[in-house]
Amino acid sequence: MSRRRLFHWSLGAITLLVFLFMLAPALVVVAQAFNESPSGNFPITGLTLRWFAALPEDPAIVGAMHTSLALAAWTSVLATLIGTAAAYALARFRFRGRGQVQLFLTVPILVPHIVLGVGLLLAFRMVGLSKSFVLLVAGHVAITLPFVVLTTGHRLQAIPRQIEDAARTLGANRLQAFIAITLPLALPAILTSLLFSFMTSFDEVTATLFWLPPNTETIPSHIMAMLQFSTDPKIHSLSSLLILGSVGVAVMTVLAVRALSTDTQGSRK
Amino acid sequence: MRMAAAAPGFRTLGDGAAVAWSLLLPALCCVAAFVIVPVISLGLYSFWERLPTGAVQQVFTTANWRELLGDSYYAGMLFKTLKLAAAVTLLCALVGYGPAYYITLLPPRRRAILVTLLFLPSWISYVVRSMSWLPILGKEGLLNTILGGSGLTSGPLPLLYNEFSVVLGMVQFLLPLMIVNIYIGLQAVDRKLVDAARTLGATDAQAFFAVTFPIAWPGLAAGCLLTFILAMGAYITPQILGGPGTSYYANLVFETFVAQQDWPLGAALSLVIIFFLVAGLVLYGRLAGISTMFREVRR
Repeated sequence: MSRRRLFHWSLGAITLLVFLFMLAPALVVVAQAFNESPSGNFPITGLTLRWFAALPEDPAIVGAMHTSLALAAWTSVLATLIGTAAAYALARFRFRGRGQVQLFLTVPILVPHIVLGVGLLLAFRMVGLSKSFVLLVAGHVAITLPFVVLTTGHRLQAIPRQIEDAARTLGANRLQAFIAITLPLALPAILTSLLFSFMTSFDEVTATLFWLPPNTETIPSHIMAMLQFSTDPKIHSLSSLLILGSVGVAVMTVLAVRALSTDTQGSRK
Repeated sequence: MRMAAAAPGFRTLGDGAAVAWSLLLPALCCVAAFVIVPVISLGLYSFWERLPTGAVQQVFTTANWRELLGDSYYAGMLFKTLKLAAAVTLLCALVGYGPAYYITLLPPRRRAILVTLLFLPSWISYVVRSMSWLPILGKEGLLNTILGGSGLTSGPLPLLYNEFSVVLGMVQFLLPLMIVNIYIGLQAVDRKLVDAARTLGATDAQAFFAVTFPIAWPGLAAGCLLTFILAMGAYITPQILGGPGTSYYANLVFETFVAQQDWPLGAALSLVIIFFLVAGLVLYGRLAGISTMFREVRR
């Protein structure tokens, strides 16, 4: 074997190990979800589905699930609408201050969630607002917005504006041209933005812990509480449900994006 | 004005700026109200007085900052956290560079699969990813069961609730981000340049260090900045995987707010993280140019 091939093979082996390190721990949680013993220990004593069956019977989990789903739905729809409009403006118009606006809308991605969490809480308190579902949605939209602006923006930038201009030359107004031409071409990115912001909102916990109204839990905050105060075996079944859900949504997104993707010449990939 | 020149007689840009700003308005308001105003209120609170009752009085005082800067406990906590963040960043860069480089060597189809897999962890809940180490590292966890069963160890190893498990959890959490950023940097390297260097007599290693690495450097820098800042602000991982001695700066912020209800001091503590973020961004802007920060991942 030549040195180059040896290098290539060993780098491949390292890559495999690194990917296992990033992804395989999740499988251990899934394995524990089927463990008959409630201890969460190894070796696994027997297989059972009862920890899954117990999930819908726990009112705290059902309540947290409702909160998390509603929160993620509101967040993803609002962030995608607001973010796509902004990304369109940044991709299609040349105006003074454009670069600064772009930076202003993307830099929040870098702010650690703990700072966003305490900051927004204090800002709300300062103007006399108390913790509420609205505060949660507002914070989550702020957290997910940069992802939408970036994802949709990159796609819009790749679509030549000449196509849209051609439609407008032929008599369409800006809105008609957007709906007929740009929207279908940008749909994969918009869909990715929608689903990714849904999952991000559903999973966010660092800032959320500061914003939760009294007697309200989201699924991640409930898992945190379960970890701290008990050794509830349902924690593994609930977590694996989340893992399967996340992987399912991610795979669906990839497939949907592939199905919807047309290159800018209009032909299917 | 480009289109106006290309197609005289058609009004394409006349309504430009007004439409652009009205489309941007909701997003700008959102960031201003929910990111900028919060940071400003942190600044205000950090100079307000906390009464012994716990209530906050809007009276100017530097007491919070004097406590923060004067008490060596806070400096020690900050230093300990900076050390942790640096170690996590270094580990992620060392472990992540190889795989990121390997992905660029692959044919398009396999490259697309690996890039998709690279994004998969970011879809999975952070809490779940962190807690997944519990059944692996615990006393009767997967590793100790395997090690004990094979007779390699006589008793269970203390793998959990210490610095080791916190670093492990953080590296697992931040590694995908690091690899993605290094990969984005490597995408900017034109293969022809590397081939040219090879033709001129450079070895593979020489070509890598003279051509590939310097061109791809902004990606590594962005990855390091992001990893460092996120490691500094992480409190869920130490909360889940840490033990008595592994509390870090973000845990301190959380404690100050939630347990002690000392909002002015908590605000001052949070602003220190913002200070490091801004310093990191300025440094990055100097070294790599801020526009390279948010480039697209090509599959």
